[in-house]
Amino acid sequence: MILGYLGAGALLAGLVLGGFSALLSFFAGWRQADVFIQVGRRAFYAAAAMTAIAAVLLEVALLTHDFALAYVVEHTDLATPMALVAAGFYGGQEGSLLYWTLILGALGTASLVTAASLGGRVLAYATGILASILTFFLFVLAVVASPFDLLTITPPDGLGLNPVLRDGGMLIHPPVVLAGFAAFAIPFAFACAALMAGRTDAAWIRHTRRFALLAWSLQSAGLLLGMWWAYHVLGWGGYWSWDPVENVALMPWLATTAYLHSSQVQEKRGRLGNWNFGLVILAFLLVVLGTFIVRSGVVPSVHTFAISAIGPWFLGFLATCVVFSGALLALRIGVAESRPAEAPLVSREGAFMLQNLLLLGVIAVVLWGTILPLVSGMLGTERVVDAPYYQRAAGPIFVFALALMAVGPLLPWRRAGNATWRALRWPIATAAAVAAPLLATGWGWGAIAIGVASGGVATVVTEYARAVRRKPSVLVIKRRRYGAYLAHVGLLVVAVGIAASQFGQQEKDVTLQRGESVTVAGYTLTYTGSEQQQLADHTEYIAAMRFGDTALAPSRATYAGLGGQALTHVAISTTPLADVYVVLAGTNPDGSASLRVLVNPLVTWIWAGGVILILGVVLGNVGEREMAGELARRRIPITLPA
Amino acid sequence: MAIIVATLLLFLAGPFVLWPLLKTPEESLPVSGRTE
Amino acid sequence: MSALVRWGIPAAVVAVCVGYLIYSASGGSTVYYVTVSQLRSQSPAGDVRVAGVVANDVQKSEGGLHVTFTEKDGTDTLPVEYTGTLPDIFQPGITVVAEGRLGKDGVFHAQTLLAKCPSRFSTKPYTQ
Repeated sequence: MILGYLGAGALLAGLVLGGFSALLSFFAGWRQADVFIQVGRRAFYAAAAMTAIAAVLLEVALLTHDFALAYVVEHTDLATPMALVAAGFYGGQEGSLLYWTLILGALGTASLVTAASLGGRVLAYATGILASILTFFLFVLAVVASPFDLLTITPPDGLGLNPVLRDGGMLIHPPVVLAGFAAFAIPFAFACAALMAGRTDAAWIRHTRRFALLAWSLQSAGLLLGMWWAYHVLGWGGYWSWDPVENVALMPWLATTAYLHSSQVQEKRGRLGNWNFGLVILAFLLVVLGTFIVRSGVVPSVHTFAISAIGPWFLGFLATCVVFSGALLALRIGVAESRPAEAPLVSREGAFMLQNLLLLGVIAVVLWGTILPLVSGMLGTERVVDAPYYQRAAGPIFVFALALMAVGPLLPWRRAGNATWRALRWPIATAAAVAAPLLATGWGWGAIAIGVASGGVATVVTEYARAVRRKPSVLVIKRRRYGAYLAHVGLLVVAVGIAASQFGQQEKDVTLQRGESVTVAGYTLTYTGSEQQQLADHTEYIAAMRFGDTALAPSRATYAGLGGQALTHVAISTTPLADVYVVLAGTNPDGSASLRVLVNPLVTWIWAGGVILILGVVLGNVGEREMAGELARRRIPITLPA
Repeated sequence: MAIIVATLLLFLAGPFVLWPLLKTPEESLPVSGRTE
Repeated sequence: MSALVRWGIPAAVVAVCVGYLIYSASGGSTVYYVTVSQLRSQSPAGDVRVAGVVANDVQKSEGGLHVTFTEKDGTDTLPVEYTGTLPDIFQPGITVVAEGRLGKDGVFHAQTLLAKCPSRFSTKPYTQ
């Protein structure tokens, strides 16, 4: 009970400090009053500290099973394993909001502490914007959806977690995705601050690059973890269903992918400054839009969300952010392009520009599909799109983007010449060689995608080979570039895995008697019998399958205490080439079993590619301080006098 | 009750937040953006 | 050639292509999302999605690969027939979204069955 009051008090204190920081920082930036700028920053740090205190209190309440708090009751019980109890912190609406705010406060503090070189006004405005966002979240937490609400009578036990959620994937996927969402606020704040202060040089980019990279990496990992969890736990044989909740995590990622590339053009050439402002702002607005959609229940989704009280507040917040950023861009955008050194279309700059356009196109496709129910529902009968829409509309654009990944790194900053076309021989040849046999087997766009992705890998190999031939140490000196190439390889491997498992998947629904076999895509499985086990809170039906030397045991648990709700445990036999994926639909009185068997080619490549991706990002950005020296050598202005 | 806790916490945070205002003039550095 | 024209043309080309892709992909792929009463009164053509709560009369056969049940939406009921693996959480009382067609026999033949995941984010309070 005490914890409830302490936590609510901490949130309230944080709210006051956040509001104070926001107001003072904006005023101080306008007046360029240095002392007030510092006070405003410290108020932000204090607000972040209050959030941390509240977070600790909530975690303590969970771990001590303090059932006086409604939140603890709703998300845990005495029987829940401790790891899942601790994870309950971010498992529910209010807790996940607090977690988000915690990350925002922590990363915001880190970004402000290291921002001394940006000059007073930008710093003040960035503080103000970060504080405003923090204040909004703290307001929702303190007033609308508090994790510290108390119950009038303390129950002896909690409600516990639904069995579907009792899984390791639930421990790690949500906090990574939520942290990624929260991190997108940092580049947004600094971009807007730079616009407000009339600073259009690349200083804000250099400072916030690591935060944008962090947000992007967290989101990449979060998306892949979510896909892995859906595939291994939910048991429908797939890893992505274009559900609104998935889409809202994908869109900011796409915008930030574009930004990470486009920002290089500004750092090296001083161009595309407007694009970079726009992309960073877009990423954050998509995050806010996504949060609104996901937590308000306005769009039908398998991730059920009741129409909750916080929906309207997030809509208002979204509207405010849109108006604010829109006004800033409209008023300040002319100021940005100060170095109109034109580049030809067929050049690296042109490739980055095209990449921006293509990724924006994908965002448009996904956004339209996601909000169609909302728009159509307001104008008439509600309509939804199904998965083929996304594949048909976004697929071709993705393939073009993959092709760009193969061509772009080989293009020079100036006009492409004969040397370029010569260098493109290998990627083109590789692409054709890989795509041709696949096209023959009828994989259509999948064949093209895999072929193009192979070409992209060939490009990276040629680049590495060139570097090693000339001077191997350049791999370390220019690790940002070569690490990025490795990340490209990771993404291309993921693309191949996705294309193969989409176009090459085969499935069969069968009912087998004991001893009977079924063959799918050349894999023959035999059903050898089933057994039933009675456990504490559920009955487990296990089917024994064999194929070759491998034994698979798909099972199905029924929870009598929850009205007969079932939980499938999928059995997967994984090889680098394909997954054999078996789901037990049910067992019959006569001893037969009904099963769904799927063969998914190259699924492991998705997970492996993800690891390579993260590895590339990490290796490419280790010890980033040296980058500043390198940029200075190129004589690109990175800071202007304040 | 929560308000009491909040007020207490604000009192604790006050000196930290307002420190730049409380410093004597000789101690504060002249150039903006260089402190912290 | 001014910079605006030089960059504007590729941008316009991409925009047109994207617009075309969206348009052509939507044509075949959108389905109406209706309530049970709308389904009966409007009889939309093609596949539709209907949401409702599963009633108590679930009957499974073929080891769980075939199921019939009634979907309730307020006061309207709809008999549903579905072949395939059921979502784990499927049981009377949960909300499902069935996608398919209403047959002449008055039974909704579902090709896809989506169940709402257990609520992580509902703010339904614990009632005592």
